[in-house]
Amino acid sequence: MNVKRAENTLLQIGKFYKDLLDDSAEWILQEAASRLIESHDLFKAGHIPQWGYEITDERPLRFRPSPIGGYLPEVDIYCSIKWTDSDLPVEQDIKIRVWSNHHLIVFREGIDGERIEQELTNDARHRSNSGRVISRLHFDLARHDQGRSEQFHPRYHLQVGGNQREYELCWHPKGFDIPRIPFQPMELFLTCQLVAANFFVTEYESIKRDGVWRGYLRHYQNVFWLEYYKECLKIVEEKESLIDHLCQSPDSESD
Amino acid sequence: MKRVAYIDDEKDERTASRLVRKLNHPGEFECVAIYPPSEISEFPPGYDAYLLDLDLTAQFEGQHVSYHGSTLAAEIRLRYQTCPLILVTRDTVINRSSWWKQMLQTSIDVDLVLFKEQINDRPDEARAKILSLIDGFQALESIQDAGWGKVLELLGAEEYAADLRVANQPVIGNNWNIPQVARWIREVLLCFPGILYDERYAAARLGIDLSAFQTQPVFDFFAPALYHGPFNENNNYWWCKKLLGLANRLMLSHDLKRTVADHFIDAFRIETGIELSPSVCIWDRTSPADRVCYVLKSPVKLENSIPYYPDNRPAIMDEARVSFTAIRTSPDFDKTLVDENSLELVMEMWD
Repeated sequence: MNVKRAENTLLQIGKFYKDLLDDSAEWILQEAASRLIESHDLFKAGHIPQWGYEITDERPLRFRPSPIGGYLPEVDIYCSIKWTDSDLPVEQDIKIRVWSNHHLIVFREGIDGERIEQELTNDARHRSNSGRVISRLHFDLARHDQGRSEQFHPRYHLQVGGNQREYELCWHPKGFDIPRIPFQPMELFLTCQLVAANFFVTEYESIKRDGVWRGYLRHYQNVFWLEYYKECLKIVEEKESLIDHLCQSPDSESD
Repeated sequence: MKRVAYIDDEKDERTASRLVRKLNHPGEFECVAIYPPSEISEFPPGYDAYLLDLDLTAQFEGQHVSYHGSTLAAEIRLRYQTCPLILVTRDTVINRSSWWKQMLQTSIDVDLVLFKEQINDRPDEARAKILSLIDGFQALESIQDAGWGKVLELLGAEEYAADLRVANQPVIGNNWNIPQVARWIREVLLCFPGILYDERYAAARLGIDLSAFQTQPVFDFFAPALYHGPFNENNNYWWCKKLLGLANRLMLSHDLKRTVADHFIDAFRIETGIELSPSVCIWDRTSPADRVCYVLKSPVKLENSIPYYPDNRPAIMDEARVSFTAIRTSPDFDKTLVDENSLELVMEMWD
């Protein structure tokens, strides 16, 4: 991946989705871009093994409340994306959280316990605008070269739930993170598209007409998806099991 | 040695002579009082800058002229684009009508408006402003026949060319002129935080207190981000991207992953053993506060402030914010400068 391209992508996300993003987003993206550049310099000098950026769960990329779905969901993204020498990242760890503070779902009488009620009314709680996480998605890249799990573990996969934080008061049972659903490789530009298309339907219609945005989309679809789907197609045409194939590491594929 | 002409229709001790004497600084700055020429085109050439009294129409030595200092400024500008022009007046004169003040302050023929009270009370500050203008104009003059790339080089901004392109830079194709570029540097680039930060904005962005930012170890650490271009009037400015880059690099080396405002302070402590004070939000007294309240000039958290629109800054610059404290307590807060979404919150806070 070209470092300048990656930097520009982060800064452009702030522009493409300006009207959908929270006021904090511009600086979050600016700092991720700065970290990307600095880490690339350190990587080139041989000081660190990978370069890239992180957006942390405490300071996520936050979207404005969505009008879709009736519960005023608020989406945020946090992630860690790292490269070495190739276009595809060697670390892809992206989470989408859907928050809500809607009175019908934030506390469910008879289901949620006293602790949840206390936390919801606690001013000192981590997230300043409170509410709780009602849905949580994890787009992950399994590093089979770092040891294989006994479980079904597609290389690129999507999980519901995942490693939730205490302050999220997440609906999903803690520590329960299967099934792992095979999914295409992802990064932040493509993740933001997914959020916009789902949660900001009207605005997305106008964003996707932008020529610059379409240029970025072409680039990321080419780099992240083209080879992935060609490989999927090949396996299906060969009448092999796609799901089993996607669990293999790239090294074992060539065996 | 800089030589400056002060053109005024009064040379008595009450006005021009006294101001000239205050401004003069032997060996560094020579100011000479001159009557306005009867023919506007016959102004005395060869000075490094001109101070022009706004009202030149009084009788002097049996004659008077029929033009204002601003008119003379237009004539000089047309002939010498390389020379800074400073209008001198009284606060009470220029404030007679708001449109007049606004028009003079934004006129391309006037680079600076200085008040007589200001020269009288703080001559060193006034002289420093004039000298900064002269130095800046002369620096631009030295590259006046070169393309825009040379201007970026002079600013030390080659790597920020893309940001500057969307910061209303006064260049058409490769053509630019000295007065417009001088104004842009002073009134856009150095004036609005975003591409460059002054010490107040830099400190807040790093999540540290202004006094901590002013300490020598912090100053030294961020020295590679200092702005060395013209018109800084002896104030320090830092390139925002470079400032963040230096902070992020230190944080990376200590595996600290949150934002600069959250973690620079920790990285600096680990690296140097020096404990810096965090920036404290003017509204809820918590840290770190990484924004600056436009009205109170104090650190404030994003969530304890709302967007404010006091000027026409380019979109690439940081958005101005006003703190809840200013909304509640400051007579300088103007509710007409907030957007429709925030106005409701303002009204609630005032109830």
